[in-house]
Amino acid sequence: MPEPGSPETGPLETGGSGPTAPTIEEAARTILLDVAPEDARFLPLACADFFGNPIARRRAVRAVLRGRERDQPTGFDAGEGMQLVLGVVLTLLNGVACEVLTGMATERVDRLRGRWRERRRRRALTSAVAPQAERTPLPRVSAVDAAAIGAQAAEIVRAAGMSEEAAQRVSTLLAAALIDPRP
Amino acid sequence: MPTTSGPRQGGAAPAGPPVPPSPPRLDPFALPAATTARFLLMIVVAVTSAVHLYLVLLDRYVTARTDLGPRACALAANSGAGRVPDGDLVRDYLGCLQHESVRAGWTVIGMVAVLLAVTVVIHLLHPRLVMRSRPRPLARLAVDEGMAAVVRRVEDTVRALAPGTEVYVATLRASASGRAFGRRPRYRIILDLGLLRAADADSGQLDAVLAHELAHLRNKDVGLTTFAFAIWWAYVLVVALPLLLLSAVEPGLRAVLPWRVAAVLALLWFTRTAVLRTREYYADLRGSATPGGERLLLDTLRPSRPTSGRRRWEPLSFHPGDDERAGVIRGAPLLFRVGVVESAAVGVLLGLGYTPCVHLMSLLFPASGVSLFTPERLAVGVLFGALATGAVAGTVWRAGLLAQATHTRPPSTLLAATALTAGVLAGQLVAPPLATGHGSWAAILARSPVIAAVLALLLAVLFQLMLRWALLCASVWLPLARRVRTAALAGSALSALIFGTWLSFWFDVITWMTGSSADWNILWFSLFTTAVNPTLQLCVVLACAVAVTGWAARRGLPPRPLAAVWRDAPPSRLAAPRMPLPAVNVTALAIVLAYSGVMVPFYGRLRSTFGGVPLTGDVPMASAAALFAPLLIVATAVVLAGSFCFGVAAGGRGGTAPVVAGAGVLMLLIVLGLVPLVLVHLVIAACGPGQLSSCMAPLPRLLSRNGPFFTIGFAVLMLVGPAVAWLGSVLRGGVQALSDAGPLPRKARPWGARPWNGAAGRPVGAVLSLVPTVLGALLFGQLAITALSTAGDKPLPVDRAAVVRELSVASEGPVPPVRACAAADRAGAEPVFRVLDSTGIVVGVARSARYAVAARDPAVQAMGREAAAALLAGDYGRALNTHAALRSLCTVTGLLPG
Repeated sequence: MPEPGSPETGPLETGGSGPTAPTIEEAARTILLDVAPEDARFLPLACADFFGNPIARRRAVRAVLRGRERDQPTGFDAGEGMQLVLGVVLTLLNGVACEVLTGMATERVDRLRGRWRERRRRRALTSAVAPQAERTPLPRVSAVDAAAIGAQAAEIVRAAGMSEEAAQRVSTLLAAALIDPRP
Repeated sequence: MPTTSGPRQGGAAPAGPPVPPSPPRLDPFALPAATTARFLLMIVVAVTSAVHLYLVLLDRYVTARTDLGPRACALAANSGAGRVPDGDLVRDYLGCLQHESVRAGWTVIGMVAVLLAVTVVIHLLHPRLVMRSRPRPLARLAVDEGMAAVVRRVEDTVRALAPGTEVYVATLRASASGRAFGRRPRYRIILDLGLLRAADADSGQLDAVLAHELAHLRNKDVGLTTFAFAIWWAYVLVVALPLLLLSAVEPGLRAVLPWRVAAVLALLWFTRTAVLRTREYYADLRGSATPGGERLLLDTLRPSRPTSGRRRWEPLSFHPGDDERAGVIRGAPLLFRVGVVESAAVGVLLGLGYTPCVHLMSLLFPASGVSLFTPERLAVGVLFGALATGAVAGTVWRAGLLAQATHTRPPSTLLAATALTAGVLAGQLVAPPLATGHGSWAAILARSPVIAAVLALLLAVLFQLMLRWALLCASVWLPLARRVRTAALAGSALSALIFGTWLSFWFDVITWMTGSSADWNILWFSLFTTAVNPTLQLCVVLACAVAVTGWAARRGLPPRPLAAVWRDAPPSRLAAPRMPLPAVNVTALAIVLAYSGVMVPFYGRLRSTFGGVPLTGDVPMASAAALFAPLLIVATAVVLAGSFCFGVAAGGRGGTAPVVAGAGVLMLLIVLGLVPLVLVHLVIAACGPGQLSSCMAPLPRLLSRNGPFFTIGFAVLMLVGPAVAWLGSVLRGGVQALSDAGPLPRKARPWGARPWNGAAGRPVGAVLSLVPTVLGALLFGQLAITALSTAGDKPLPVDRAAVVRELSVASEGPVPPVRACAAADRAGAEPVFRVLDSTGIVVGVARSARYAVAARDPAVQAMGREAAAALLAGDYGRALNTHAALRSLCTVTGLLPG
């Protein structure tokens, strides 16, 4: 399959946000109900904090990208990975809504500059915030681009310390939420 | 259900074959933790390290300028020479120096005050900084019935264990953790939503983590932890960053400061994380105090799954690994070991922190800065001794408790002592050099590596003795205490006093050798001062007596309760070593009686040798020593024989340490008996029976005026007596080992002790056995203190003829000032040594004055004239002051190395 943005497929096109495009909250709920239903009940609280509190958001995104939370003195630090899917899902959807992850799918990363671009991506993911918070509609993209974004998402989910199965399901559900239903 | 890494199952214990009952585990809370002292030591060292770096700046930007500080005083002295009387010039110069010194000291204190102010601000702001992420109050989490129940459960637990604590939820933190923070009286806990998300179905993990966080509050970790963080950040902001920026623009500082600042920062960081990791063990233990809590915590601490996040590098982590934590909960004696790394860290902190602290004191109290063993130095020594003993000797007491409770041999402390020594030396190497050269082992190493190695060896011996003594005290007093915690605290306080005093002495030797030529003579001379220092000697007496008198306490006290030292077993009796107090008293009496009789057959020979020697008037110390040599040699032989017999009789396998401590008390009793006996023998032999009463009359006066006889005698006996007793004990131990046919392992003998059955009840005998030791210590203390105070106060006679002879040596004409300064340096007129060699010092000062008078420098000339005038007038004190002023002038003007 040709890579998105390659000469064979041409530049990546987003289909815009049609009237049926799910918002971040709707897509997050869909993913959570499938992957971690016990997290779904906390979605409103988490959305409010994620989009209303820049410090909490930055820390959450960094923890997702780092794969663990910061060690804290007088904390517990059981050595576990991420127990909560909420932060990962919100990070992914916020990145998609801000076209940070979308942009990532259009770029071809060579080995020489890979680390530098990876760092830029991380910074972009950390600083981006969807304009309408959790009510921001997700963009619509082609199936090829959605698959590419899903692959990126799966990579992030894996890096966050979650299981391979969870990564695949998040990837699939995210891609499904992004595909433009129009022919 | 596909999820992140899945919740842990909190309930079921693994099924399998029946497990044999595990041995009982010691309660780590039975003794005070060593971590508080380590925290405090870290904080103190951060402050003193800042002092050190500020002093470097002060040396560079104030002391080195000609219009400021001591150089301004030197300029004023030069301009005043010849215009004002020499005496006034010296007085003004010393006054100016004192004024500048105090001003510099207060400048440094002001800079440190900024550091502390920033620390306090960060400490106060810390809860606000944590709350910037705006966690939700716990009640907001009650989104459904299940979560409402979880919220109530958490609130009930917190209300029961730490009432008043506020609980919040970090809704975006995905880990299953929590955090305790805040400050009195408002403490807070933030729980991660990752912990609470499934707590309505399985609350095991929540209960374990909540118990752990509440344990941090109950262990009072939060305030100290926050302050340690605050001072680290304040150090970075107020000390490290400005100095690094300064180093960037000042080429002269680049080779000196940046790496040292980085090393100090790294040391403080690693020390802090190491202490925090230890505190985590205590929080786990407190949180798992109940059997249910222990099971929950162990389930929560199962080894990490492969899907979990990447682990941090251990030294950078605030938490130990899960396996280690689980091991400590299960009873691994990690908290009862004498750690080598911890000892090294404490040593580095000591090596870094002590010198600048003393330097600051000498700036603030310049009048006493030239002499050794001043109260200020002693206070610094006791402060660092307290922190070091709290940090290291505390772990030794814990190791002693483990040995006594499990009836095993105490651990070796050699590695810990070596690590402590290496740490101190490393700290001295890292510490930036000061222009005034206040005590740097690194400076001695650069000038004379062999002497530096000897000093390092002496320090290692000091540490080893300190740790072994702490171990012995633990084994003696823990079984006798109503509460082992109280005994440990009292032991640590005593260790602080004794060890701090000797530590102070070691650093004083370093200081003195740094300030003069580091050669063997000065080393031996400074070591010999221990023989006339009552503080050091009384510390030795106290150390030995505290251990040995445990015998009387064991006999005389009413039955002791069983020691509550187990987590999961009833109180039990601790093993107690056999202390040889009765043997000490008997041996002392035997030695004194033996020496009384052994000289009688030689009276005729003595009379022919010493007959007619008048024992009235002042007898110079050197003449007296030569006169008494034969008597002292015989006395020493008797003491050695007695000590050896004492070691053989009271020692053996597991009994060597008690014997060495007992030998210390033995030497105290012996010296009080032998010194008068030496004189009595001499008097009887010299006078004969006919004139005995008239000859004996001056003896009390002679004894009371020659306290150094006792202190020097005690120092000599302490060098040889315990060593010989140790030899006797080791020999007996060897014989026992050879004749021991049974397979009893060596580890099964805790210092020759068997568990004490608690029997008591001979209070009269116990008190009587104590009488010699108590009386001896009091008498010796009185004699030693009187000896030193008398030597310090009374005006020493100045040999006027020697002074005139020295001053009248034909002049070689005008000499360069540097030569006069070299002569002043050689005189070495430290006041502390005046009791030892006043004549030599007087001659040295006179020679220095002669060179100074001939110097081509008006101020040096004036000071030389003043010193000569003072000597000719017989005013020893004035001459010494002038000489000190001359040396200072030479140092300030760069004619002498600092």
